[in-house]
Amino acid sequence: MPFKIKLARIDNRLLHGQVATGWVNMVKPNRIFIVSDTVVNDALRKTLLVQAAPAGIKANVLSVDRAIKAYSDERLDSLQVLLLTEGPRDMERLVEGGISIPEINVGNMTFEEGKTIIASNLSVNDDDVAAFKSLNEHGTKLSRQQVPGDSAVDVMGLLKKADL
Amino acid sequence: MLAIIVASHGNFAKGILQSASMIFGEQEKVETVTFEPTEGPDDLLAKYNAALGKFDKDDQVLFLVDLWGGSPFNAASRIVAEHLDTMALMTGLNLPMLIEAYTVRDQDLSQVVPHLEETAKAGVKHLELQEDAGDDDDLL
Repeated sequence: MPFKIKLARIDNRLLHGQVATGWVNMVKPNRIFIVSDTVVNDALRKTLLVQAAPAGIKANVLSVDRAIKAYSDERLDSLQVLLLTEGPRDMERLVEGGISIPEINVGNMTFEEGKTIIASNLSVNDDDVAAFKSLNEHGTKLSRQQVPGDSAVDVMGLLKKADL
Repeated sequence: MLAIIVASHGNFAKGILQSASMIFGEQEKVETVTFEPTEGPDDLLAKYNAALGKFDKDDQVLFLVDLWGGSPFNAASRIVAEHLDTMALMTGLNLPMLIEAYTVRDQDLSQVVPHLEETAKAGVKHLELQEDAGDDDDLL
């Protein structure tokens, strides 16, 4: 039995107020995994993110490969994980690597040059679209829901509406 | 579900409600009462009663107030004093307190109050940089 994922969330701000307070209170994880190959190599950002974890919940910053390896580590069986990635591509790599993620909570993906806005605070580039489609083909449900009080919206529907 | 009244000097109460909705979303049965510079205690009582009128008769009501001893506190405490079995009042309103209140609204007032007191205090914290924090080798 691998660790249990209580919530998998895509959010380019990773661990911030909506997550550390809103979602943590909602899903009550006992561990936060921040999965990002960039952050793992950025000592300051890593330190600050780990400090932003709510009291009593440990946070780890992991590379994608390490997260996949950790999934088969039996010593981590008791973990109830809130798992964060910056974008859908990392989530897709986790699923490809064998991690079972039935549903992904899609949070903030901030607009940048070259991205298409498909909902408020949700913009995608070609690679994001490809990653979302691949996740959808894996049977992963993609739910747009910024904060617990929002109602969930299907991301594939949003992509279709935007002709993507 | 607990009904909540957030009260303050000036617009703080409205502002913190909007901040909390960014973190946790819109909430039902949450009202604000703001005390304006030209107003007196009777205005406050009227505003509190108008807010209470929006709740159901059997709702438990939690007052989250900015300052101990201020006018919003004084007026609210007069109301709460007459309904001690169904109402409670806390001061030192802050964002962790309000958001936590949203997450424990299904519990009884008697459990919620001490819990929120703890959460609000824990929200005051200073940044300390620990060098080995975030060591990704330490997953256990």
